[in-house]
Amino acid sequence: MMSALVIIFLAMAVALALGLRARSGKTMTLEQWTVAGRGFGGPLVFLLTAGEIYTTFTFLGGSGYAYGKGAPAYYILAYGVLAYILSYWLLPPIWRYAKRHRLVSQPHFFARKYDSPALGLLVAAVGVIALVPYLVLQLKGLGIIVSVASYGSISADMAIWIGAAVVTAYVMVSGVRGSAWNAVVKDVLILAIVIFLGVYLPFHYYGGYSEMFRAIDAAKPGFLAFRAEGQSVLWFQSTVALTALGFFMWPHAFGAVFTARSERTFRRNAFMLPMYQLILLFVFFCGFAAILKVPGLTGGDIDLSLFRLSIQSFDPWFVGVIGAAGVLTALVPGSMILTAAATLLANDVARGLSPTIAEDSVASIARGLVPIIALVAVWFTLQGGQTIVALLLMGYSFVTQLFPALVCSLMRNNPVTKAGAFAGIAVGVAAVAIVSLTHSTFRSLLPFLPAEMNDVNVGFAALALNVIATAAVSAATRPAATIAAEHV
Amino acid sequence: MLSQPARRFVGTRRSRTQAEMSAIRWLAVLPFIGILIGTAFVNRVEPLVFGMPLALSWIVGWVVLGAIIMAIIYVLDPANARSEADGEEAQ
Repeated sequence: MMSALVIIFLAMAVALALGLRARSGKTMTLEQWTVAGRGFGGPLVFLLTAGEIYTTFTFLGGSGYAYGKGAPAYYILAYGVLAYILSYWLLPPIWRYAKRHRLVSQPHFFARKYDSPALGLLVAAVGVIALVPYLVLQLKGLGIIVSVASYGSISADMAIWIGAAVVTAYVMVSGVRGSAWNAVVKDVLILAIVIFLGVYLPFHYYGGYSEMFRAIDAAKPGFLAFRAEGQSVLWFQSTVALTALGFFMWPHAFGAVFTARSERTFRRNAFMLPMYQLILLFVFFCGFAAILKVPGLTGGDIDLSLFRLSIQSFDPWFVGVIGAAGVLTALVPGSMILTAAATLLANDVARGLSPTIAEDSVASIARGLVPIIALVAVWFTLQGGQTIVALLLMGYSFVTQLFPALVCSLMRNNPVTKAGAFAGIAVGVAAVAIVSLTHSTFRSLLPFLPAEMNDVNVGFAALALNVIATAAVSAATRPAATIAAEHV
Repeated sequence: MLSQPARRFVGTRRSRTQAEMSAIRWLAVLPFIGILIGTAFVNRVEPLVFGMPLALSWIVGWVVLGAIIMAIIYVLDPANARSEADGEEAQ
């Protein structure tokens, strides 16, 4: 029984060692620490980008959502391909502009494009707010893996502390290079394990995919299609639209764009990465296989389904291997997220408020913030309750509010003014915050809306308000003469 | 340096590929229509396709098609051919 835990802790130790090794022989400036000196080549950027996408969210959250919700989980497969299609045209101009102006962060990008340090501060704040639930879900995943693999001898809370300590340690010593090397190890391991589980479990327990889905359909009619209301087709459409637009708006995803050596990398990724998304299917199959075999998990516990079924199906040492892969899927993105949040606070918020801070001290502020952010995330994680997918969707609802101002800033004649961009983002984020904090729906706040509006994803509805505010304020603050394209 | 007629030849060829390219670019809209609108019409379990519920296999089909469409666009986009010829990204 202990062998599972031994293997998992060994994986953590190896990850930490790789992180330390990546650092040796290099003195790090802030730019190196965050974007690794723009020195990554194609294959490593490929893995780094893929590494960010295959997180605890897909491994435990994706299988858990398939287990607990059924068809709504399909959205997880759908949005990536649309985001990559957009990225073909969206990312090269971002990369070119960032390279020309030597920008290291997303708020810098907005501040420079709109010539507004205040907008940069707002964007930094939105980024940090959105990253917190994303970090929380990684820690929640780590907690699940370690505590379930210990067969109960380590509590979930203790496991969350251990996981947070490991992520913090290696982010502080190595920055983004550490996560790149671990991403290489992680991607190979997670790919092998997920494909194995996604094939083995349905065939072992049901005799095949058709048999499995027919058995689920018979036991829970309607579970494998979208509901008539609630998580309906309209929910699917609005959620896919929200997440596809928000995909590259995450501060760390934006930061990873800067690490590429050439803009062609993004165009290549746009057709190579969608196929990679198909490994999500195997994760779904694990969750679906668990429905009839480990029934009864509800609420936040649906994320345990893959692990519970693994324990029921395999020897402890193999549960340990699955757990090790799971740990890496939380550590790699967890380190990226922590790095991004610390950099945002040090480089964009602290320096934004007091521009005289020297670059050396910004780097040490960033490093010092890492454990503090980790502690905040641990606190939120210990509050518990929400599913992994709900946490990520909350983050998306915030971060997608940056999309309208970003995409307009890439136009030759940007129709959006700095006041318009500021107002739109503020309105969108405020709408999401109000609806989330009061646990209400848009229809309860605005009762004249048709009943179907309840099914629309909250973040998407907020995005609509955002666009209206952006357009209205831009129209009101636009100077008489059309602004020339000074930021092409 | 190219001679005058040769340069004109390169110019017309480039503008023709760019015209083709802008037409082919519209293929990228199809996955959005397929996933965001089409899914409403296939929201069923039966018939299973490749062993998967119809709605799921529909989405899978669009992921694959989306990748194929982007590969075609990548190959035909003169922007990619140009930067390769310039050797600006020897890797």
